[in-house]
Amino acid sequence: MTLLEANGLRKTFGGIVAVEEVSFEVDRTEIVGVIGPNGAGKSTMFKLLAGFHKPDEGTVVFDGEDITDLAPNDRTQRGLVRTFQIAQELTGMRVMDNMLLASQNNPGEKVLAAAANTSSVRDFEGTARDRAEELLQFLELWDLRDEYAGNLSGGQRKLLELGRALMADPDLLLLDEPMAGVNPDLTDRLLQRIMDLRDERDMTFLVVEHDIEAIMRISDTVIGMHDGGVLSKGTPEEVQSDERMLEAYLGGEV
Amino acid sequence: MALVDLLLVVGIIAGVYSLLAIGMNMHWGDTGLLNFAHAGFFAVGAYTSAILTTPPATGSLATRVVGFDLPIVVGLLAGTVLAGLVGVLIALPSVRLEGDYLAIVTLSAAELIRLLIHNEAWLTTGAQTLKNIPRPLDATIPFSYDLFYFVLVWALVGVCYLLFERLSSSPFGRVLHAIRENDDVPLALGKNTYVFKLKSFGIGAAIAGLAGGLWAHYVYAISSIMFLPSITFLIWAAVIIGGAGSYTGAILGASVIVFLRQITRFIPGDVPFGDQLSYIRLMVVGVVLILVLYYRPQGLLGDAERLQAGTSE
Repeated sequence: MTLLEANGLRKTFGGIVAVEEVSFEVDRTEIVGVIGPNGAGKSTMFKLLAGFHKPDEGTVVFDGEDITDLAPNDRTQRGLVRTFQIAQELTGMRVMDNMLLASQNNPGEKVLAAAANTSSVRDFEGTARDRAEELLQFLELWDLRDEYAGNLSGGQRKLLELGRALMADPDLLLLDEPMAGVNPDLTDRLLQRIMDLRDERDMTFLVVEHDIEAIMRISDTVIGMHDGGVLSKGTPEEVQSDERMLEAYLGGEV
Repeated sequence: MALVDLLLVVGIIAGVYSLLAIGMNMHWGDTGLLNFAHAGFFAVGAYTSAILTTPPATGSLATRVVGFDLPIVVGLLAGTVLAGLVGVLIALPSVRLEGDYLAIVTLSAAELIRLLIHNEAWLTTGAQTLKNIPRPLDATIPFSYDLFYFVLVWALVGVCYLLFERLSSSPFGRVLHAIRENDDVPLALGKNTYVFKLKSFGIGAAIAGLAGGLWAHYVYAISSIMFLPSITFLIWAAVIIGGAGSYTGAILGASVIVFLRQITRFIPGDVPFGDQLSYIRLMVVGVVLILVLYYRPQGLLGDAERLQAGTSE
């Protein structure tokens, strides 16, 4: 079952072709890793999928629907959620509020319901708090729930970023370098959590990551990018043994 | 004039300015929007209520052909709603603009409103003063009318304070705060940030419209020069002095500014520099603003911890 489809994506910035002829599919409950050297087009491709860039050519299809022209917020509401490469924690908001912000279809976000503070608003908030507590406990951020997010360490911010994205209850989670700046012990637990979420909650992941070892451990499929295109695609073993990928990383001619 | 009467007048003005500051705090303190159109929303509220509650002008020199002679409560409500709609209308094309650009567009929008009022004499009496605006329950108050109006204005400040405080701490307010911090994040989390900005703009503008109506029905007569951008700047000073993001701060800041400005009006003109008092008043506001920003950058009642969060790197 295909969940996400990229068809012939192309994106240029001025004279630079950042992404060209990128096509691939992500199956439901699959974990797909995206690797490639700096400038390979990973981040641009990621933003095309999340809707933060519009492609010059090509389409993005999610769950059978062409979402190429949808705004990022509409994609999130359909279950396609992204994180940010540099943790974009909301510094002037508390950790708990960062989490609660991500809950979807919150009735309290309507002005009149918020002003009346109706029982459905309070109930929803209560349920959301329970979910947020569970996630914060797992990420070891629960004791920091009343801190301003700007006071967290770099690694804690990455965790909050992940927790917030999970709070949005995605079908497909786009993770942009989730392991950067997280200590090895926690990296292990994060990888385990990602696999658990896939197994127990049928979630699907697309992970852009520089930590090749981590990617190889969790991915079912790895996409190797170079110069804006897909250079190699297959199982972790296949991509790892692809000579062209090695060349790409070492900077040789491919 | 006895001191109590004087303080009541100053208090009424402070109440009207507090309503303006509450609206501005939703824009800037909660949502991070640089709104410089506040004087325009204030004017829309004042003129809407005045036009709806007075009859058309009569006599050979009359320019205004429109007037409805409706009850004052209708005028106040209509002024509030219309100011909110004008706020949304101004925000529709402009609220996607970043910081300074939004400030410039909104500033010119407010001037546009003022010039419309100045020129459309058939509707507003134009450059002349729109006179004989009725006061609510004018003849029926057995005690000091200023005391009655003081209580009325501050009761409305209280209601609006509770309402805005609740909105700010609700999930709706949480999205506004997220937009203030970094509007890519709520966008990535499924919030239509554009629509939230429009709502913030409309609600804050509506409350400025209510302030305008209360002002018009207190002072009997209004004219377009009452709604210069300087009002917007004073409200900005009020929100910053009080502490952006804090509604009690907005009310305190507005009260401090009004008190500083009004109390100096009663210094006699024959003291040294007495004839330049109006300029000195503006300087006093400026000095207070600088002192607060230097010694208490978060404002009198602002949240210092929030201001510093994330700035350690």
